[in-house]
Amino acid sequence: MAWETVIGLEVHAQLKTQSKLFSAAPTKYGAPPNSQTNFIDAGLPGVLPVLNQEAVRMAIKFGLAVDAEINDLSFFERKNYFYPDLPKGYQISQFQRPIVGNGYLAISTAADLSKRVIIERAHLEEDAGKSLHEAHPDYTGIDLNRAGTPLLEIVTTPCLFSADEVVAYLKTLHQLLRFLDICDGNMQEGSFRCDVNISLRPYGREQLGTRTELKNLNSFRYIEKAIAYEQLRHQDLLENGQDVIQETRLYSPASDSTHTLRNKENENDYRYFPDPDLLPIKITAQDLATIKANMPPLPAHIKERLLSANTFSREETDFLLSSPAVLDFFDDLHGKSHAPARTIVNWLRGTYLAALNDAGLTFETLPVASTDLAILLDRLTDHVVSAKNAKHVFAKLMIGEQDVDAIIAREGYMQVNNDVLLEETIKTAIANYPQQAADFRNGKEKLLSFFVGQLMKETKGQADPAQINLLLRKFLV
Amino acid sequence: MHTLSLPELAHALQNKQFSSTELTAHFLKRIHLAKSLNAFISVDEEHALAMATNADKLLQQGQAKYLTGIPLAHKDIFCTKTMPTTCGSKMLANFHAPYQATLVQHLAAQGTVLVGKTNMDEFAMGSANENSYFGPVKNPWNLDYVPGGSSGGSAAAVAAGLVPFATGSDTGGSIRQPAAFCGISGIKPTYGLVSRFGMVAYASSLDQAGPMARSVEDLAYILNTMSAFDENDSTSVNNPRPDYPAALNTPVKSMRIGLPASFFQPQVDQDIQQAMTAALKLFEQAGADIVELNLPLQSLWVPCYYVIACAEASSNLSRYDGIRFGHRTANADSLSELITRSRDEGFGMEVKRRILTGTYVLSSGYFDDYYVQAQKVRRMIQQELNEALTKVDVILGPTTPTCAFKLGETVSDPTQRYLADVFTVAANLAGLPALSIPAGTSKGLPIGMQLMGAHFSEPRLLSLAHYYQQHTSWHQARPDEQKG
Amino acid sequence: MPTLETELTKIAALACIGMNNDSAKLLAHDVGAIMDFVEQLRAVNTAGVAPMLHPLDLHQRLRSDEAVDENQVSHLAEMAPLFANELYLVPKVIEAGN
Repeated sequence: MAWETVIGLEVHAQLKTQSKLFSAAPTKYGAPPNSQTNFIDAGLPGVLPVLNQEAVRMAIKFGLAVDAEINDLSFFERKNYFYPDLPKGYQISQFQRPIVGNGYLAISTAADLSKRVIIERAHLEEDAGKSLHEAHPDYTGIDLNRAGTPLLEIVTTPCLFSADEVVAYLKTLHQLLRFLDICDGNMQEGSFRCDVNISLRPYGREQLGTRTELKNLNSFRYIEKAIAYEQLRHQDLLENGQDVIQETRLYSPASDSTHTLRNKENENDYRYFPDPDLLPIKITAQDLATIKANMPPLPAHIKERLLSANTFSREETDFLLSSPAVLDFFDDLHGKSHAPARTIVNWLRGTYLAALNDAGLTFETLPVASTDLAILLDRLTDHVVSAKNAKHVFAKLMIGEQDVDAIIAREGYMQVNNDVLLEETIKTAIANYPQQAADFRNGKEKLLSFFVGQLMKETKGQADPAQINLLLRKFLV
Repeated sequence: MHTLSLPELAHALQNKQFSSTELTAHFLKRIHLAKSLNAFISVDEEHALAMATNADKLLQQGQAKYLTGIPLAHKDIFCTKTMPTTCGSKMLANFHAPYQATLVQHLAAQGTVLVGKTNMDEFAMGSANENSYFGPVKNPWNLDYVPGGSSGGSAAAVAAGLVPFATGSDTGGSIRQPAAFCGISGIKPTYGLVSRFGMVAYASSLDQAGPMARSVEDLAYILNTMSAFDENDSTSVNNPRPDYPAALNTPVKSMRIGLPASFFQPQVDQDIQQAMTAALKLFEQAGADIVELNLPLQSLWVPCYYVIACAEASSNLSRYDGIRFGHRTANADSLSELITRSRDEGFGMEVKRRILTGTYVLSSGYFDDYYVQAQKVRRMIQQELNEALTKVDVILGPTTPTCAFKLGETVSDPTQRYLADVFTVAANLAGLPALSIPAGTSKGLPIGMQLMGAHFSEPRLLSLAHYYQQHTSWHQARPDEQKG
Repeated sequence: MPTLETELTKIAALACIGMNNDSAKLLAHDVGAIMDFVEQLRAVNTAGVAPMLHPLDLHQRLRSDEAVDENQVSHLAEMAPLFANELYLVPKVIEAGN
C-alpha cells in the first residue's frame, strides 16, 4: 500500500510590537518573572482590553504580502478553557472572522520544484504565560510576562506532502516575516512556533485520514525528525488495521519520538463566542492603501531583482536574503565602498561571517561599522593592501580598532605596488638565480613559484602577488 | 443635613453653613445606627474623615468643585484602593484592588468623600440582595422586605438617608428595580456612556454603571461627573456629553409618551397600575401626547436576557480560579482540585446556576440554538424598540410588576424571580437609557415608574422625570417618617 | 432535552466548579428550569437576522503601540494566595514541554 503524507501547518509568530496586544505592558524577552505583567495581563476583576494598532497593521502587512483577502470587518472571540498560564480563563483570539483570509506563499523545495502553499487564514490572538515546572520542588511556577503578547497565527490548508516541503515553507515564511519586520523569528526564544498537523491516506484517495497535531518543535531539524517519526507511526497503525487517534502529541528530542499530551489540549469544548469587551475591527480601503504604500520590498522581489541583475550566484543571493540585517549591511557597504558587489558579498560570506561565528555574534549585532569596513574594502580593491593583509586589518577592526589607514601604516601592511621598485627587485632576483631562470625559460613552469617566493621574501610579503606574477613573466621571457 | 438635596448640600458647603467634616460625621453616625439594614459591607470612618478634611481645605480656599465635600458610597462592585472590593462574594471577600475604577476616580477628583462600599447580590446576580455572602439587606420602608437587587445596599443606604447618593450597576435592572423598591431615583445610562473600567464584569454587553440618589436633579449632577469617554474601555462611547443639569427644564409639552399595552397586564399590581395612570394624567395635563404602543416581542425579553447574561457571565467569572487573587481552597492536591474546589467554595448558588447555564448555552451543540439565537432575537428586540422610539420620545411603565416582597420567601423555581425583571431588561438588551423614580406607595412600600428613551436621550428622560418630581412629592417621602 | 443531570457533570467540568451529589441534583434541577424557561426563544423565526455583536454597532478603537514599563510584581504578590520568587505557585502539573 502506498501512503501519502498530508501536512497542514499552524505557525504562531510573535509580533514585534513594543506593547502587548490588549495592554500597554512591554514585550521584551527575558525580563524577571511577572515584571512585565500589568493588571490587565493578570486578568484582575474589572480590567478591560484595548487593541494595539501596530499589531493590526502588522497583520495587514502580512496579508498583503501573501496576496490574501483582508476582511474589512473582523472580530475577536473568546476561547474558553482553564489553565494557570491563562489568566482570564479564556484567550482572546479570532475564530469565525479572522483579520486575514485566503492567501498563498510561493516556495521552492530542495529539488528545485516550485509550489504555492495555500494559506487558509491568519488571525490575531494573545499569547499565554509560561509554566515553569522546575522552579520549585513542590509547585509549578507561573510567569505571566508573556501573557498578552500579540501572536499572528498563520494556518495553511493541508497542502504539504513531505518534510522537505514543510521546511521549505517554514524557511520562506520565516524569511518573509523578518523582511516585513513584523517578527524576529527567534525560534529559541519562542517567537516563531510551529505546530504540525499530519495524516496519512492511501495514494489517490481524496478524503483525508485522521490527523494528529505535533507540538514543541522549536527547530527545523526537530520538525523533520518529528514528521519522519509520526509518519511511520501512522503507517504502522494503519497497516495493522488500527485507527489513528485524533490527538495532540509532543515531540521529545531526547527519544526522537512523539507521545500523547494529556491535559488542556485534548477534548476541550472551547465555547467560542464574540468577545463583548471588544468591538469589531473595521479596515477601510484607505487603511489598506496606506499600509500597502509603506510596505518594504518582499524577499521574493528582492531575489528576482538580485538574480536578474546577473551579478550574483544563487548561493550569494540566498546569503544576502538570509536576514534583513545581512541585506541592509550589504546595501550600506555597497553605498559606501567602490569595491565590486561580488567582492563585498564574498567578503561578508567568508571572512566576516567566520569572524561573527567565532565571536558568537550576528549580523544584527555588528561589531564592525560599515564605514570602517568600506574603507578596508576600498584599500583592497585599490591594491593598497593584499588580500592576506586585509584579513589582518579586519582582525584588528574586530577587536575594536577603527582607523583602517592608521592600522595599515602602523603594521606596515602597505603593498609594494611601485612597479619600478618591483622591477628592480625582480631583475636582482633573476640575476641571483640564473640557473632557475634558465630552467624556467626551458619549460619548468613550477619555478615561477620559486621566484614568487623569493620576491615575497624580498618584499617582506608586501608585494601584490598578482603583480609579481605579471612582472616575472615579463622579465623571465 | 440628610434631607438636603445635592444642590442644597453643595450650596450649604460653599456658604460654610456646615463643613464637610460635620456633614460626613453626621452620615457616619447614621450609618452606624442603621447597621441592622446591612446596607454596607465596608465602612472606613478614618479615611472618610481625612477626605472630608481635605475637602474642607478646598472649600476654604475657594477651589472646590460642585460635589466637593459630599459623602457617597460605592456599590462593592467598583474597584477602590482604600477598601476591599468584594462583589458581595466569598470569592473576593478579602480582595484589595491595586487600582481604582475610572468612575471612582472621576468622583474622587470632584473631592467627594467616600464613606463605604455597599452590599450587593453576589457578582450582581439577583433581584433582592438576598444572594450576598455578607447577608441580606433590608428595605428601610419595612425591615421584613427586600430592598431589591443587585444594588440593594446602595438603594437602602440612599433611602434611609445614610448617604446623599451612591453608585450602582445595572445589567438587567439592578439600579432601577432596587430604586423602585426603596422609593429613590436611579438611572441606567445609555450603554457606553459611563466607563466600565474597574467595574467587576458580570455581563459585559449589558452592564452599565449609574447613580442612585433622592431626586432626578441629583442624578443629573452626578451623571455629569460619572459619564466621560474612557480610553481604557473599548466599549466607551466618544461623544461629547451634554450638561445634564442644564437640560433638566426642557419643556414637557408636546413630548410623546409611549405606553405599551403589555405593561398593564394583570400580573402588575393594581396599585402600581393606578400610579401609572395618575402619572400619565399629570403628563397629559402638561401637554404631552400619550401614544399607545405595541411591543409584541416583550415576552421574549427575559429569556433573551438570561441566555446572554449567563453566557457572558460564565466566561467573565472564569478568572476566579484561586491562583492570582481571591479565595483559594485550603484543600487541593492537584491543579484540578485547586480550581474546582476554590470555585465551589467561593461562589454562591445563584452564581453557580448562572455560570452553569451560561456554559451550557455556549457549549457545542447548543451554541447556535441558544446563544446565537438569543443574539438574533436581541437585535429584533432592539429594532422593535428603536422603531417605537421614533414614534415616541419616551416609553413609560412600571419599573416592576409588584412592590418589594418579603425577605426569605423561598422559590421552588429560580425563574419565578427572573420575571421580576420583566420591564427592566429591555433597556440593557438594546443599550437604551432608562430610569426609575418613585410614583406612589402600596401598603407602605414604594412604587417605581420607569422611563426609557432612545440612545443618548438622557436629557429628555431626566427633564420629563424632573417635571414629574416638581409636581409630585413621592421622592421626598422618607421611610423614617413613614413609621409610627 | 437530554437528561440534565448527566449533562451537568460535563458542564460542571467545563466550568471547573466542583460539586457533591446534593448540590449537583439541586443545580441540575435549577439549570433545567432555566433552560425550560428560555426554550421559547428557539421558536422565534430569526431568518435573515444578524446576531447582535454590540448594542451600538460601533467599531474598535485602536491604541497606539507605546509600552508603559511599570513593574507591578509587588502588587501581584500581595493579591496572590500563593506567590514566591516572583512566581504564582500551583500544584505541580504533569506535562512535558510547554
